[in-house]
Amino acid sequence: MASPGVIYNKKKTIKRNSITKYFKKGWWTDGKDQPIKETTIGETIRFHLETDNIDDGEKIFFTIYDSDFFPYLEDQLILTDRGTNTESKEIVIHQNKGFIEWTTGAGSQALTQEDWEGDELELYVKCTYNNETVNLPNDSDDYLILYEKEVLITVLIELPHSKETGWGAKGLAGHSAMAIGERYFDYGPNNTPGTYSENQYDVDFNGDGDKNDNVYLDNPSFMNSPGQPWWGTHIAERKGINPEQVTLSLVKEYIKLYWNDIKDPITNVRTHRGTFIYGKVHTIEFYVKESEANKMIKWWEERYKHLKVYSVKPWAGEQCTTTVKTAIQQAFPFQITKPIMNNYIPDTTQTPKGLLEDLQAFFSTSKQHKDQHAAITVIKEEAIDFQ
Amino acid sequence: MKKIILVMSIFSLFNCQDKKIFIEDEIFVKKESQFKIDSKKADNIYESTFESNFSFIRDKNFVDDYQKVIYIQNNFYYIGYSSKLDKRGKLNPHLNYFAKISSKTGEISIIK
Repeated sequence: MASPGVIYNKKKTIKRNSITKYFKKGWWTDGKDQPIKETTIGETIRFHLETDNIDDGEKIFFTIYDSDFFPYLEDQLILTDRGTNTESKEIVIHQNKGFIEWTTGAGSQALTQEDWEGDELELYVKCTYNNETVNLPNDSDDYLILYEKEVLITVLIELPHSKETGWGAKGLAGHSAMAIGERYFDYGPNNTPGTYSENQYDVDFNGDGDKNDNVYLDNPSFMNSPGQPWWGTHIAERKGINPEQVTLSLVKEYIKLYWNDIKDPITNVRTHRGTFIYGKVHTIEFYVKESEANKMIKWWEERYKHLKVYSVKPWAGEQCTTTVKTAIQQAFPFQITKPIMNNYIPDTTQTPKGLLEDLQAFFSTSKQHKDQHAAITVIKEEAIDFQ
Repeated sequence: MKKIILVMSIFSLFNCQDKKIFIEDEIFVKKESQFKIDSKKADNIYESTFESNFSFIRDKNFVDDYQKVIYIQNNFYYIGYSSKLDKRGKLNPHLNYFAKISSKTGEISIIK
């Protein structure tokens, strides 16, 4: 039903003459032959063809295109035969039917990331047999819309408690962390004296010009210490797992626990180990495209491989907030051509409070949640019994 | 000019007086040598009265979760435990089971 007073600028539908000698119709389905109009990259899809007057065993030549406003700008999607680099160009006809199947992947992903493509592809297939060429499906409304999967980014920010002073108030008593889907990542200092491998940390701890030594650090501190996952390590130790196995769900459970030790009033023995998370904790949630999430994951995987130096001094190392910031910047780097851009975190951001302010201006970038404002939730209030 | 220098000197003297000298600091030994009660004795007082003062029995996991912090300030020994879950480590952390011990008399007072 039309809305009075509102004029919609609708895309003009292409409706072609379906009467040809050889081609009756073409349509898209999923891998189980269920008709589809849209899907996400990574799924298996099929293009089906129904023909007329074509003998069994005959071959139809096909090319897949991404529909564009200007036909001469349309991109071609190259398919290869499974397990080879040979371009797949033919559909074999049997009883006037045939189909091609493939799992969408890197090729489609690359096309969506081209400038001016927007967030999606609209796929149709150009079919040729005996000098007759048609574009199918007939109706452009039936072209397959293909876009990236979305991934939920959850940034967790603990603000320093209002009673904190000194370095604690500046941010050291707070924390910044993030999850990409369920994969959790964070960074903090390892203040435990011990021997550390320069090679493993990718750091010249003793300043002798190489990174090949095992160096004893007698007093590492937040000014200059080996890095480690922070809440990730604490949770992993309690659960008997590796920090890489810590999930967002585990972290949310951990944050809910009481911050301080609890003892039995009669025996005076500790019955609960405190988490020392006593500041106000926020989650900031927004959706990104899978390709953007992968850039963040890649950065964190490299960081977990070489944990480098933790330091609150920006010139000496990194800390919790700067690592989260840098990971997010992988997906949303500063672009000189876009001086006013969404989802920008400046290099000057150094504290959980500053990061929270930056993220308040974030928007989702996935097609499914395009331009929705980041959702900010307080998941834990500041402890009232902290002193 | 002399007055300014004098005032600055007094201020700096007060600052020295207030400054925390941690047991890891090189001047800690020199400082405690001036006191009647040394840090070892102060720590013994802290330890021997720990369970009654804090109504708390340390379990086997306690050493995994906490580290002892000792410093001198205003001629008192301050002894407590910082959580290993505190990024500050031993550098000015939030302290639990916190007490101060007079370097003259060995009298212990519970802070929290």
